[in-house]
Amino acid sequence: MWASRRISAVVAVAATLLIAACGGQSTNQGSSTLGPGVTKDQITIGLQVDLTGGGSLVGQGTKYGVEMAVAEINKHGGVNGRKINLVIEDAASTPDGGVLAVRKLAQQDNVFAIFGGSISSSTVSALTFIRSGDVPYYASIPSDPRVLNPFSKLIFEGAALPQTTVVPDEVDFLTKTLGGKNIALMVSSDAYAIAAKGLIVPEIEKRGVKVATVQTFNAGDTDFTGQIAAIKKANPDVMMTIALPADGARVLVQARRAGINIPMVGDSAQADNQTIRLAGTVSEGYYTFWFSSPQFIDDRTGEMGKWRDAFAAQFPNPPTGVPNQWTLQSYADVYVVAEALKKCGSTVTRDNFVKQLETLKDYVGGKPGSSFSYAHPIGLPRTFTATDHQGSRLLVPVVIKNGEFKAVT
Amino acid sequence: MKVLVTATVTGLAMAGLAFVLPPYDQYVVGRIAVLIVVTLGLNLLVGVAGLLSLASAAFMGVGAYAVIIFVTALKLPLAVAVPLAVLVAWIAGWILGTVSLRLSGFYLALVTLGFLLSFQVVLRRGGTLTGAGYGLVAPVPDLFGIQLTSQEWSAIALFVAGATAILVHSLTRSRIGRAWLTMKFNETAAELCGIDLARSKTSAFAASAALAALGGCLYAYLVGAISPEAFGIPTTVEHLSYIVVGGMGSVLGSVLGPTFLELAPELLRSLGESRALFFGVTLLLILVVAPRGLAGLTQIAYRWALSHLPDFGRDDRVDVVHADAALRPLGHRGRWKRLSADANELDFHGVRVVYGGLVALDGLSFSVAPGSLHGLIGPNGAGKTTAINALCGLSSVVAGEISVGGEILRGHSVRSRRHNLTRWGIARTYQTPLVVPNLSAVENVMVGMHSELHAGILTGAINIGPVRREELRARAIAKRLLERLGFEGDWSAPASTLGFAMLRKVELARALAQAPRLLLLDEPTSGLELPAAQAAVRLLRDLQQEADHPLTILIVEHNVPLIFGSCDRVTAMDQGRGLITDRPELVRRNTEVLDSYLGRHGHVGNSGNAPAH
Amino acid sequence: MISLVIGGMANGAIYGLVALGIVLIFRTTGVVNFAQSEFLMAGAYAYLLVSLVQSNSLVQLVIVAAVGVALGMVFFLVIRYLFKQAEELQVLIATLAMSIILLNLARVVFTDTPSRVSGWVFGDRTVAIGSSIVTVNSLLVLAGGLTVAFVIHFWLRFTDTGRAMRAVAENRQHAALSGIPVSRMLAISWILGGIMAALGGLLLAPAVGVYPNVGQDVLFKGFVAATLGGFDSVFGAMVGGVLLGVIEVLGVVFVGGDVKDVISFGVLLLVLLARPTGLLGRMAVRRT
Repeated sequence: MWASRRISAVVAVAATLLIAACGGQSTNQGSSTLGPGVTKDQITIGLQVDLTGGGSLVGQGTKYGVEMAVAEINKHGGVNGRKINLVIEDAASTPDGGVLAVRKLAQQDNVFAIFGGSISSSTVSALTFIRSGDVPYYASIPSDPRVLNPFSKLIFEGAALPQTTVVPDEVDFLTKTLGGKNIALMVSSDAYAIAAKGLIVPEIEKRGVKVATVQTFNAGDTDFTGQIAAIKKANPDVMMTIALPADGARVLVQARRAGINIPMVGDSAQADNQTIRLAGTVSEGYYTFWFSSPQFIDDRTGEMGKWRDAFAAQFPNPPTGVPNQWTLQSYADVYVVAEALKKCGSTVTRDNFVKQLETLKDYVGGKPGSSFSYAHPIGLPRTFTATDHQGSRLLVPVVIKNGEFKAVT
Repeated sequence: MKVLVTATVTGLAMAGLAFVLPPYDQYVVGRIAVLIVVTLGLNLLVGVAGLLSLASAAFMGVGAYAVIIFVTALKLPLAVAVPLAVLVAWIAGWILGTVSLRLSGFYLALVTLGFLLSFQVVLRRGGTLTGAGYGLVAPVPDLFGIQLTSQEWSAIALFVAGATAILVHSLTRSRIGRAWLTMKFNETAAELCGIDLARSKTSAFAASAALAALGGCLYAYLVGAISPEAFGIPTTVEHLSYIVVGGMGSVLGSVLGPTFLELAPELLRSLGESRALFFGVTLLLILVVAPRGLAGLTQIAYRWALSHLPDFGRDDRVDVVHADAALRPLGHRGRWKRLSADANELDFHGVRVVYGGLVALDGLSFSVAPGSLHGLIGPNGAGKTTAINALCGLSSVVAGEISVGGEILRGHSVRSRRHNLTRWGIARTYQTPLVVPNLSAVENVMVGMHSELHAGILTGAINIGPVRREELRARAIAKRLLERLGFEGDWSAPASTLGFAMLRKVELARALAQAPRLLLLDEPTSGLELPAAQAAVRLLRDLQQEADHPLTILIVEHNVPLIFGSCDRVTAMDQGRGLITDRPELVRRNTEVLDSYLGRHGHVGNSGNAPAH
Repeated sequence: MISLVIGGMANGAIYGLVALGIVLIFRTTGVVNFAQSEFLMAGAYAYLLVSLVQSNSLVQLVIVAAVGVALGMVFFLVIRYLFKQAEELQVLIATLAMSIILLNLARVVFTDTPSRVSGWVFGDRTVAIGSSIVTVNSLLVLAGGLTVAFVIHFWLRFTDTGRAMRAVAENRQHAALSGIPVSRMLAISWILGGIMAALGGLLLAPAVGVYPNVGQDVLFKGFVAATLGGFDSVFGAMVGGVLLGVIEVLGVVFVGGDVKDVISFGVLLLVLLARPTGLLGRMAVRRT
């Protein structure tokens, strides 16, 4: 049939175009002392981040944090004389997009290592590919337990706390600090939230406390009349919402307006100015958890103040909502990665990079003892070992007072 | 064999891409191959069968989830899991297809959308089976003990895409494909040609779902991890975009669409931030500038190739062998029985048809003798077409009876009547020829033989053995029929290129292809000049004589002198009633008939046209 | 319980407003407007931007309505002049394409981050009804939706233009032959559809925030509501919407929050299979 030949011809043309388009790839296969993506004046690091889609708040924040740190490092001559060449791929907040972004970084952009700045949805799918390859993956942002499980030599988790670590601390806060005996949960359909849900219910019950009800909703939903009515009926004394800031704020507003006056807690994703902005005065007294840095992002004093000023100087017109907690996290994590690269010395290979990461103990870029004195020490300490790639473990409960986040005293 | 060989060769050629391209591009191309398979399925449903469905992402998900669950939870080998997953989707598609029997167009789309949303909820609530919000991770593909690399899997995906494209193309040219296209064009005409609408619709859904699931299986192992988010509304909208941009109903379009929409953003890196915007703009541009999609654009370039390359697999050699096929039908048509030797072919007894408040047929009674050429005349609005519609099951009869061959059509709903029409040996043509523009003249005629042929979806696509021989023979018969009716022009060009007079011939040929005992012609000469009209009527007479069984023809006409000049008997109608049924010379002089046409005391002239009432 | 029902009805009123616009446009022009959700989004953004510079409620209302008019007009022109000869399916996909374009333009310009806006006229006040507390905005939504439905219903029945529009909806050719300016009627129906959706945005935004996807969730429900009410009845669309809103809320309480969409689907399927003309409509579901 002529049509079948048409199809074959088109395929041939397309193939030719593709091959032509791919010609001229820099083949940086590396040598025994220099890994792929490393030349004598630069190291190419890939950034997987969700610039569009549901995770774009996280993604935009992360991108700016990374770019700020990279710019600082390059301004001061780079790492051991090599500038950092940042290649960014948008994972679009979808599993498919995550795989595309990571594959492109690894196979086409030939990066030395990948900085994971994507949310869980677009990260987990990509890790299957990472685990089967040899590109180190430093996950700064995603908190899904599947990042570190199953364990892989190549995969590290920086700022983000896996839900398995976070949940027991959060539940302690709910039951001990707030004294909750009958806890209501409101959980979104985000991947990490579902992961948390599976962990939090047994944790609560383990402490002999009752779970009043577990209500669910689809991320992006805008009306919670039904769920709130069900929660009221269950008569809880504490309520916790696990969702991203936009959803959490909506739930908060609707719950308060419906007359729910018990203490309300949000998970750490909601420790963001978004929550205060969207919920307005209703957010007063709302609890959440902070793990991004010792000071709060609104705090204009001390190191945070200096960092805020430096950020504003470099980016006079950031998009709405940036900088946010993810900016802080990724900024700090870039220095962690840079420190490991520095410690590689002249043997900048992937194996050595991984080994060097595993030697870091309580590391904060910019603190005395770190190689980057010009960095702003606004991160929390990172510690890695050969068998434990979870960098951070600290979680601080905070409360919104007078339109700002303050530590719970 | 030719189809299978072409399919294999094309598949291998495409698979070769995976070994030629650098690693990232292998993945991209593998992904496009997966999308091609899904798009082929969706295009069958939307572009060929004309059923708008938004559930393609759900069926893709069914395939993806099913194959991983079968392999990991049920420990089935991959070679078994994939066909099984496809089968599951086939059944699910079939079930969703039954909904399409009651709804169409926009409502159908809405229901399929709801199905998609519900599927996602089922996934999220599926606990450990579906991994809930987590999704599932695909193990390394293990085919007959060999662990496949990413490159090899991309090659397999490409092979499947190439082979499937050829098979689907063959399917659109086969019996089922013709039926779908006819159904899309006009469901009434399709049904009255013997096409079972219910089966056609459910099979279209099933085939589409199966292909989507096949794509899903390939997708699951290619990407390595699946989750509910991958099978939602944005994905289904992308699938729709592929077929619109590629070209609806076109296999080439199903290949071009995903290729273009997925590659373009890759080549234009700066669009990275706004892939969806790019989709939307391209979609709109294509709709405005090139409504037939990219495939339509390439058609101009390939038209010459079309006429220069051999008509592969459907060749004309057979004509010599079956030169005597003529009007002899394929199957056995002697099924219908006659009550007695002198029973009438067609009887209307007091038939009443009412539309809302309007009485269209008011106790119509007349009889048609077997083998006769019987005219049905009357002024506009007399109810002539309604009478035919009533017989065909297009209008419901509230009182009275119709009998065919002496057998009263009792207890048949309108739907049942339509369904059985071909089996009873009744075929009709329409006031405006309902000839499918996308099919060639020959293919249109072959639609008439639908109920005599046996090719199914798979057998039709593969086209070997008895199915192939049947197709060739049907083709030869169709050509002979067209020749006999004096068809002139390119019988393999799309019918949209044919002139009005030729369209009428094609439609008549299709009706004759149904090997009817009773032929209903609705104004077959309208639009024809007098000599052509007279020739047409003479032709009908000749056909009746050539037929090897009594062929009765009922002809509705406005050209009264023509009718009087050629028919054995004439029935004159007015205002839903039969005035008189008799020999033409008696009818012509009947005062009631004259009154109905002219008012009082006029007479019907000998000119070609009867004055309107 | 009261707050539950009122909340459900308020949601439903939004579905009804969206459905009203869809039905109005569909009846007269025959086009199923997939971009109705983006009209709503545009209205929400217009309200957000205007409320930043102008606190006069009337001005806010007028500007939001103007945005609806503008969008309706643009769509009318595009479909009339670029898609004159197109098949039904192509026009449907065209509105889908335009919906995608509008949505993603908003994403590029405004990003996905939601913004907060306070209720029109009444701000964020709440009021107690019995033992329940409801926001004044949700009552406004209810009142607004019902008012619009009434107004449109009476306009269609008792004004010349309204009747002319119904004539065009019945049979375009006959209407043209009767001297009705068909083109103008088509434009009016698009404009009305645009205004209604934009108003929906104004009413919805205070409850859920302003962000590009704000119309998407409501669109499917709007279609279901339109089907519930019978696709040709303007009043039925509103009733259908309110009913759907209440059913949905009850469903969430008794079944679960994540199955909200399935509930709409179930309702849709039930109506289409059992009573295709909807609850109030007369036009049968289009078959062959």
